[in-house]
Amino acid sequence: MNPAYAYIYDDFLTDRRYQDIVAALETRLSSMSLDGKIGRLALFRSAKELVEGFVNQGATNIIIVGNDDTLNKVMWFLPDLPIVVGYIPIAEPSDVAALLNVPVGLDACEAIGARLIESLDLGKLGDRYFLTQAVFENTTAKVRVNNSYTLSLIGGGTIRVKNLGSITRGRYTVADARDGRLEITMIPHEPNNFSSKIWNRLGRKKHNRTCIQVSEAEIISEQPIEAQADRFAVSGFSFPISAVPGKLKIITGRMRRLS
Amino acid sequence: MPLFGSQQTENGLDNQSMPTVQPPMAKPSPAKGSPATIIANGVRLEGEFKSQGDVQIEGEVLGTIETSAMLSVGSEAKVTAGVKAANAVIAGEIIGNVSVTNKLELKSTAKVNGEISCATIVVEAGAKMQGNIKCGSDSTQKTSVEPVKSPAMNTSPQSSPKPEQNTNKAEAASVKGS
Repeated sequence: MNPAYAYIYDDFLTDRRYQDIVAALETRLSSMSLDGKIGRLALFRSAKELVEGFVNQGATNIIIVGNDDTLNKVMWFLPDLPIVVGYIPIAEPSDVAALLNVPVGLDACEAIGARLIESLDLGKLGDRYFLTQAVFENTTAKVRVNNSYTLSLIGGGTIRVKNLGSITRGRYTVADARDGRLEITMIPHEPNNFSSKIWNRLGRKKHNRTCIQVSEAEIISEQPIEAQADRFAVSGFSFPISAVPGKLKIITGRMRRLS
Repeated sequence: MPLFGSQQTENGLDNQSMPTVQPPMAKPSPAKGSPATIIANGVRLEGEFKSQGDVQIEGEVLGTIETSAMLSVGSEAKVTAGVKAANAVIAGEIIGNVSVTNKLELKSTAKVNGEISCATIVVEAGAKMQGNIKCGSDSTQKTSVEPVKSPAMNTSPQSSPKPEQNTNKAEAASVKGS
């Protein structure tokens, strides 16, 4: 057993469907001398205490086994620990794995063994870290940057604050997670008139996206708005956002889509 | 026609003594590591905006815009701001002073209501300008970019710059060489 590695399994892996692949995974890791202590997330169990316990015992690599939701359960405190994070996706959704170019399933062990470590920026929404993006859907909120200028959607729309990127309908939207900045994209609502419908049918959709790069900004609104940051929902009237450069050390695949 | 030595032109002048034509001013490349900023249609920007990279405006702007690279103003854009850029291509409406270090291009749909200063200017037929035009290598040194504030932000009645009216059309269209 390698004391430098600790594996955090999600709760759903106890299901019978995943028994075979989990067994094969442990066998492969053992053959590569990467097997370590295993901890399981549970409903009334603190993920933070579980991980901190492994770190106190000498683990310097925490490998998350599960899916993007598993990663989200631990991402809010992992960057503050002196560790390298790894990810073995077993089930869907696995968009983050695709952005990091980590294969789904047993092949992810090769990525863990190759140990290509990147120092990625993290976004911060309020006091919570996010890795991929924070989305404000159907909002009239404004973006205030450095108290020097304000961007507002005239007729409402969607605001996306990207750090690593996102996958929407199978398309990658990659943002640079190593530039110390966040990419803010504002997409106004499409007009529901005859001409816009014709243009959409012809496949000539107008690209109407506002893009700016900031290190910190604030999303403000007179009405309460809801934000989705890495599948975690928060609501409020204002959200300070900032980029934290090089906060997360994570193992990535060879052909990573980071920029 | 001699095999060796210089060739003479029809005027009898030696080619080697003819003045060489300066190459067109090189277009400065945008700052590396500074991705483009796009203000799309349906978005309003208010305040002082500064950038190191290219800026493309298709929406509304109120305040000042400053970039050390290329500024593009789309045909549907409305800019009520002082503008400062290294190079600019304008196809929309600008109410405010425009200061361009190198080349300014006004498309046929451009409307500029303010003082213009640049090193080189290209004006398409149909472009509308109202204000002084100063063109030349030293013209941009004296031009200041003043913010244009919205009526709600105005604290004094004289806060917004007023474009100078040109009574002499020939003077307005003249280009001062370096």
